[in-house]
Amino acid sequence: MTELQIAGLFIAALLCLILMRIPIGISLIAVSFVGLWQMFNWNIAWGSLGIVPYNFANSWVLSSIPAFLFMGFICYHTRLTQGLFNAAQIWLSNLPGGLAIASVFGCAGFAAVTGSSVACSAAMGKIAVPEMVRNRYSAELATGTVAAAGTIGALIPPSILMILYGIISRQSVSSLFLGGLVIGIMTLFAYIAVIIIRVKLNPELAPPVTIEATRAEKFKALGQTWPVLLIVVGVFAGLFGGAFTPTEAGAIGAMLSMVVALLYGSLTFKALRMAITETLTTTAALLIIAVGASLLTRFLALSGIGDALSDTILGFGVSPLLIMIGIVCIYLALGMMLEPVGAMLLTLPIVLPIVEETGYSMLWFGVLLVKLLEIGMITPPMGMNVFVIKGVVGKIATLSQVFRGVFWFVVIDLVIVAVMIAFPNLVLFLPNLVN
Amino acid sequence: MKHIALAISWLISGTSTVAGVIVLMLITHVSLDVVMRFFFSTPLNATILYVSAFYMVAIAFLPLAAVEQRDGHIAVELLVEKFPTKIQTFIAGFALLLTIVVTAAVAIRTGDEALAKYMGGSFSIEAGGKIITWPTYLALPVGFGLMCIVASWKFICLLMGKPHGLDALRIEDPYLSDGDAQ
Repeated sequence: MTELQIAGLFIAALLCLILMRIPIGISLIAVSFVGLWQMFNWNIAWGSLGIVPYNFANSWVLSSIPAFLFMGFICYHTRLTQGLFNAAQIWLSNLPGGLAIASVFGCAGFAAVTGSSVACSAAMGKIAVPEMVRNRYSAELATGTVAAAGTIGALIPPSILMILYGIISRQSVSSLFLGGLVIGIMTLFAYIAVIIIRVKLNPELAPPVTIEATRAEKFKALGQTWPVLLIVVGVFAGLFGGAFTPTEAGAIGAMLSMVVALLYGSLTFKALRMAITETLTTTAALLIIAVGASLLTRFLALSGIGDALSDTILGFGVSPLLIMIGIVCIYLALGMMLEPVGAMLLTLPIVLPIVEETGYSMLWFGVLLVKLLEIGMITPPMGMNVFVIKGVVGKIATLSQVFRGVFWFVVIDLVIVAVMIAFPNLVLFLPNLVN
Repeated sequence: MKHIALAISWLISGTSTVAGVIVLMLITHVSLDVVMRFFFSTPLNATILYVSAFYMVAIAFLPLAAVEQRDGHIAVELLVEKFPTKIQTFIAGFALLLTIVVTAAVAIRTGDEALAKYMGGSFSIEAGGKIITWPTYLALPVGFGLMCIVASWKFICLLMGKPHGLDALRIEDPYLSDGDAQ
């Protein structure tokens, strides 16, 4: 058997296990172990099982994941971010689709304290969707906006996906955060444009809403956003100013969140317990997949299968652009079926050597990858953000209505992906400038 | 049956509590290190070692059983959902069996490694002196071993057609659990 045939066999076995609902981490460990055993010998396979998990987890950069997760969960469970939507709706209600625009801003603000798009959608969906529907907004627009805007959560730092990508591809997490910030803000304004254009074309989607507020009331509402502003400024001034590493930024952010929640009067024992438990279970669920991916990388590297695969793809002689378009299509398809962390860790051991060979910047690819995986969060049949919004809003909208509501946001997302491929410097200029 | 489920639930709660305290220690230790470095120019010794080897390894592996208990390990539901119930149950049994084999293998192998590190008195030399590191290796056999026990218990209950009864650590999401939204 050639290396390529063996690769095909093991990838097919891996896909079979995953499609049979075997946890992705367990599937990766099992296939990599059997692969190492068959290609080499028992000692190498058995030895890898003892070394790889510890060596992977024993990482300073990796420890930023529980720190940032804890910061996000504390903000979420103590409801520090509730003032964001209120302030945005008072300031933006006069615009066409003003409440929908306010919910996008609310998500972007929440994104700055959490790395999870699901948390963004859940928190803002609970507050913003009922308010929009009460003001006779179309249920499709209301739910679709919040489901889509949640994806900004993984682009605007902190981003768990970017930390994992940074560790695996050996890229600077701070630089990835800066690249993600640009695309996150670009997505924010693109979504706002979609809302304004749709409402201009069909005013029935969002009847005008006038919120009477004096200048003093407007500034009071703005003042209610201080908890988030304080945390965001504290964390990102230190991180991007070069004073903190990502782990330090996460820890300071988590500590600040607890102090602010204490001052805000919302830090209860229950909220703290929930934040800790969710931090632990999320970290462990991510890490077992990352350990499996690390074993797969070892198997592909030692056996030469990884090189054989990338050589074969590059051997077709097609242009790097065409290869990149192929990779984009694969990730869009994977995003429809797999959860982002699973899709990323499962494929990176194979995809990274190919991207490296094509000459594209690995930093740029990391940001593009996160954008692609986040599109998968709102595309059927497995659109996690859509499911979460449906869970939050109950009978306000059907699942099909939420999926219809995100359609135009997916279209603009694809335009953003095209722009990112056509102009890679859009992603790279800020990291280059700061570095 | 109930007593076994209760004992396993207590074991999970115990390891999760330890891991939870370690999360708070990580946040406090790193924050204190930053404060000491910026305001007193005296960073704490061996912060990177403590955070990476002691805290992170424990946080990564001790909660594995809690995740298994909540069926929280990331998996693809898409295809299996469409199958008849009998086939779904068969596949669930196979998934648990594979989980048992894999976690048992990792627990045994990392247990060997932990024993070897203990016998060798593994340590690290840092600015503050010698720091014993062999205990950090224990988190892996404990985490994977407990996950293996949970998966085994779930497998036995599946064969007997009974609920597994592991119900500690139930989390209520404040945004998803309110009755008015459902």
